[in-house]
Amino acid sequence: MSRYFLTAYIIGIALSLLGAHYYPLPDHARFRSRIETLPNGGREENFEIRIPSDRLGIPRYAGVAAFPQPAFAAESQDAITAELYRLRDSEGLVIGIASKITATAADSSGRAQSVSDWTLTVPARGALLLHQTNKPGLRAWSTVGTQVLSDGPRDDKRGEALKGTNEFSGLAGSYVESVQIDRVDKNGIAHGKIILSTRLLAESK
Amino acid sequence: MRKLAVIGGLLLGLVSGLAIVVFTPMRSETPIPLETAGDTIYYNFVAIDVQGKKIDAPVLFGLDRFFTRSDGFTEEGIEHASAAVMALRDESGRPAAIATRMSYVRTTDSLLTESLGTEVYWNIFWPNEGSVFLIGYESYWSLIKELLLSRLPEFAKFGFSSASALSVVPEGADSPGVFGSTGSNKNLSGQFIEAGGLDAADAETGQLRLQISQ
Repeated sequence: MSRYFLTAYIIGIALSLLGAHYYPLPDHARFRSRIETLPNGGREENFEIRIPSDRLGIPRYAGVAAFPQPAFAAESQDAITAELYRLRDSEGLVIGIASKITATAADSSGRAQSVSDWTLTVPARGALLLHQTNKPGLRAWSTVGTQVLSDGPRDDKRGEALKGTNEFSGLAGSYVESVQIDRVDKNGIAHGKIILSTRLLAESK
Repeated sequence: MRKLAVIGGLLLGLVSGLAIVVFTPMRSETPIPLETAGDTIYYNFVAIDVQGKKIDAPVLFGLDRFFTRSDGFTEEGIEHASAAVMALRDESGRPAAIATRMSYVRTTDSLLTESLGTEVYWNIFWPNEGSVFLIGYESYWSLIKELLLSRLPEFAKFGFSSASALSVVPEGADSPGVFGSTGSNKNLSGQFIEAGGLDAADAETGQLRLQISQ
């Protein structure tokens, strides 16, 4: 009798452990990566954001109001803009989410310049962290056409791909942000896309 | 009688196995200590805007599809992801920085090794100073364990009650930490932990503790 009980007990424990090991935890849908291999062994991959449809929520602003009361304020010379987006591959499939923060920061010589940070997260693959200096004197998004927003900090005027995780781990390189406006509707809203064109190489150790 | 012995043994074995899973010594993550030596900067954060699915027990166990949810992205690729804009306040309550926080359920999770949580990416911008990126991993196992043991009938209600240190270092994962990005923060590095639970109410709240150096 005890033998039957003990055997069933051990089988019960084993079933619990197997159930825990094989329990179907949530997974992320994986799509084919649209990567092009470059002659130098690197890889080029473009990400797209359709505007205005891929914008999540509304842009959020923060800034330091005039002394003596620092506070978050939308109207400020030093306003910071935070934006959230859906992220697509070059075929238009939604593969991730992205955030962009734009603000003014001083460069190494103390000169104030407009900069942007991008966080691209692709749940099935990992994340890419990007930053750039923004080109001054950009025209508003009210005319049809393409304009490049990146103006460094690299010598080739491209932005910097700082770090990646998971599938992007060990990769670094550059990118360019451009905005392609296809049309402006009667309400003055621009329709088009933001394109983030990345070139990544394995980091040298 | 044999049948009773087998059934009894099986049931007790299943419960014992469940207890082993809940209290398992098999760990693939190392908690980051709450108190770290040296200068630590504390921020309390509050979400200004949250998009996507709130990460809670049903989401982490993949059971959210059985409950009616109004949050969450419909696209397959980002179904278990969320994004938020955060306001950071210093210890005296003054606004200090704005940030974005992106997170998604970690796909390497296994119930057998207590690995149940998310990957998180912060981008923090201080006015007139510059920015940093934070890469982190959060384990919700201790919060879920507490929820299961003390509030079993309420498992279907999402949200955790305790504030707890969530940050861990998973085995084989990229090193978490602080990475400088722009401005005067360009060369910063360090580590951070995120403490807090997800409130069942509207806003995500918690605390960030940064230990950074040039």
